[in-house]
Parts: sequence; C-alpha cells; structure tokens
Amino acid sequence: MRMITVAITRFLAAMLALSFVTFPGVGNGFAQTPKRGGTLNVGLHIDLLHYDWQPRSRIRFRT
Amino acid sequence: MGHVFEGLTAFGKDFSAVPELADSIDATPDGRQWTFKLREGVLFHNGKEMTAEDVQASIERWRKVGPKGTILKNLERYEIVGKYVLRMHFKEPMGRFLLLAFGSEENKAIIMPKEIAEKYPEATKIPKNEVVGTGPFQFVDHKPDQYVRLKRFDKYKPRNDAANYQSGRKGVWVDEVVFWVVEQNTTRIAGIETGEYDIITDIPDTEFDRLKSVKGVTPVKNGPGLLLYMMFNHKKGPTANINIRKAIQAAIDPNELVAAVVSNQQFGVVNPSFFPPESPYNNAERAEMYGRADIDKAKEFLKQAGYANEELKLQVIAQNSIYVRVLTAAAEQLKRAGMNAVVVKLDRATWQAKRRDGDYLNMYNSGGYWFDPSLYEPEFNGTFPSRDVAFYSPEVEKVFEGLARETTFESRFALGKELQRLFYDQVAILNLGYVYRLIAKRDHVVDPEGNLALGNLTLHGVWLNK
Repeated sequence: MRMITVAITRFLAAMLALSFVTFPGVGNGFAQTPKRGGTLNVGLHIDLLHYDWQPRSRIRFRT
Repeated sequence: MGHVFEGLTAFGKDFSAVPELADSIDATPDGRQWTFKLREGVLFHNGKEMTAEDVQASIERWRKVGPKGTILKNLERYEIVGKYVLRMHFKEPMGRFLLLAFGSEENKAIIMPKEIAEKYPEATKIPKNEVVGTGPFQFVDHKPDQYVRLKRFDKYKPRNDAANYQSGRKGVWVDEVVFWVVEQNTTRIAGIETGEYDIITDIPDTEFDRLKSVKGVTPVKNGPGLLLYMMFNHKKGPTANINIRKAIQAAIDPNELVAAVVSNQQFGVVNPSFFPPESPYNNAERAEMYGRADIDKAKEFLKQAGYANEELKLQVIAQNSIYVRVLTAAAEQLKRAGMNAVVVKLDRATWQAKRRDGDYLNMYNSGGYWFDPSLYEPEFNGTFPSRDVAFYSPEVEKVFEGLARETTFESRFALGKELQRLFYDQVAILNLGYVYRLIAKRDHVVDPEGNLALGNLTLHGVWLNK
C-alpha cells in the first residue's frame, strides 16, 4: 500500500514538474500563454519582394 | 525579409545592435580585430548547420553587393578560428558601428549558406528556391504583386536571452504568414474590419481615431520617426550648383510639409536633426537653418546661381501616397520662390533607374531611419545611388573616418553634430520632417512584446488567440 502511495505521489509530482516544462507560459520564459497555429494574414500596400530577389532585412519603407 | 534571414547582429528595442546569430563578440582594444563566436546548432532552412564558413561567405557577398558594404573597405582578411568562430582583421581601427552596419534594418548583412552566397555573387540573382536563411520563418511562395507566403521553420533555434525586438528569444507561434499585396488603402482597411486580414500596414493617420471605435480592431502607432528626406543630383544639372540647393533649402517649410502628410498631430514631428527624436544622436546643430521658409533668401541664392528657370524635376514613386503628398507640397514651396519645380511620378523600377541617371536626375525623396551617424556613410561617400549623381565631400569623409575610429559616445556624438553641420552647410540632403506609421491589428492578434509598434513589421512573438 505504502509503495502504491509513494508511486502515486511520485507520479503526481512528476506531472506537476512536467506541467511547468510542457505548458507554454508557465515555465518557458514567456509572460503569457502563447497559442500555436493558424495563418496570419497581413495586408501590405506594396510587394515586399518587388522585382527581384535581392534579399535584405527590409525594403526601405515606402520607396 | 527579417523573418527569413538573420545576421550576426540585429536591432534591439532601443535600436542598438545586439547579437543575433553571434553568441559573443569581442574586439581587441585597438579595434583592429573583431572576433565573432557563433551560436552553435543553428540550422539553415535547407537543414545545414551554420558555421563560420557560411558567415564569412555571406559577409563577403554583402561587402561586394550591399550598399553598406563599403563600411568594410579597411577589411584586411578573414580568419576562421574554429567551426563556430570567425575573426575579421582590419587595416584601420573599427568602431562598434560595425555591429550596427551588420544588423542595420536596411541592407542587413544577412547570413546564408556558403554555397548559395558564392553561387550568386550579384545582388539580384538569387532564385526563389535558394532563398535560404536561418530565420523563424521560411519562404514558401511568392506571386509578384499578389502575395508572399512563409511558413514556420520548425527547426528554428531561438536564443535563450529575453525577447528584444529583432533579437533575443523569438517565439514562433503561427503556422504560416501570408503577406497580401493590397495597394488600395480602402481595401486594406475594409479587410481588417471584416477580418480578412489580421494585420494591415501603412494606413493614413486620418483613420486612427475611427479605427479605435471599430469593434475587434486596434490601431497601433509605429515608430521611431521616419525621416522624410530629399536627395539631389550633386554631379550634373541645376542641383549640382550649391546655390540652387541653398535656395531650395531656404524655401522649404517642413511644418507645411508634415501638415500635408499627416492630419493627426501625433503622427508627425518637425525636428531639425538628421537623427530621429528617439536617437541619442538627435541634436540641434544648425537648427537655425531649418524650416526658414524664407522666399527672399531663396531668391537671393537663385540670383547668385544665375538660375534661368531651368526645370527642377522632383521624382517620386507614384504608388506611395505619403511621398507624393510631401513632394507635391515641396514643389509648391519651390514655385513660390520662383523655381520651375515639376513633380514626376514614376513606378518603382523606373524611379530606381532614374535616380542613378546623372543626365536625368534632379531630386528624389524617400524615407529612412538613421539612428547612428555612421549609417549615413554608404549614402554619402560618393557612390550612392550611383557615382554619376552621388554626394561627396572630403570634410564629410573625414567625419566618417572619425566615426569609424571613435568608440566613446561623447566623441561620436560630437562627430554626429559635425556631420549634421556639414549636411546643412553643403546641402547634402534635406530634412522634410518625421512621420510615424499607423498599422492596425485584429484584437485576436496577441503581441506581448509590443513588436508591432516598433520599426519594421516583426511577427515573431505574435500569436493568434482565436
């Protein structure tokens, strides 16, 4: 019986510890709980990639 | 493309350069050797691990093709010290602005696999299927003038330090990002209201108050101040004459220009400095020459120049409503002073070609963030946008040399003031005022780091709460 109690306690402790690691926002360094997934649709007034594939960190704003 | 590519350094929230792909950066006291220890285990989107060889090849490519590559003119050699350690040896002392240049928001020294960097030694030649970086998102598809599609890079390795705008720990939460090209403001605004878009950019500030009352939508003021500026053909035509440029400088009234661009006071600032109000280099040197709107003085300079009503073309990108408005207002001011100013609206590609053409160009306008005086170097060293039109002065070159050497803020601030004085005295460039951008997001877009209010659209750290 004692062994079962210890096992259950250990299991619960492990689950608790795991929760801090697994669940976002608790132990992952982020202040809020991020949600994964979805498509972010962004409406821009220009084509970011213009006429060529010159890679750059940004296209100069509004040129 | 900051979502796809990263650099050795990036801009932090205070727009100082902080390590991005670099783990640590050390310089010898004489500033001649810079050692970049790279983060280990960083993967490119093609699965290859980033090493010092990739960084060397990418920096070398940037040195040759990037507009800011001239900053490395005193580079003597690279040394690969280890798999993850690259050392750069310079002939002359190099200040910390090297890090700003590498991480600059404009023309950043992006890191790509060595094979790709060496295969495409020209700026515009990388095909779509070889757009490979280390960033939190990877390229999927691009349909010109329609959309760009990115997806989350599942093997992205974030830094461990705190999120810091373009660097620090980047959370990558959404599966994909689609940038839709929607030229019409009204269409973008309707799209955010209906929920078709989650974020829209470049909205007229007149919409700020109205959008606050739209359910499910939050307007976001985006800064720092963007300097609206005018550049000249310094080699040929009327503007090669400094007295013509002085006449233009004397005639310009930035208060009126900013008023022509923004209607909401909090989206425009008139400030004499060539460094934005948020920059520690912002200063009042030659403030007395700013915003004079002095028609008589302008006419005096025109007389000294022997101006005979030659046409002064002000070329602008037709699709950019803010730039068109500011330049149209500027042209009116020049006309009041007796100048034959004409606004020429061009598509972007033509505009780019024409601003390099010494026989065509008179003036063009654009906008930029220059936080540090050294960031002006590539555009005022006699090469930009082409040698046929570029500004050059030995005094300015001397200031840039000093800026490259000096490491203390006090000495660099003094040089920044000197640069500003020379810009005014030699009419190298005109400050037309500062504007802030307005973007809007749906309320289900969560942005805990406030990245959407800073600089360029930065989508790491953002998630959808729906």
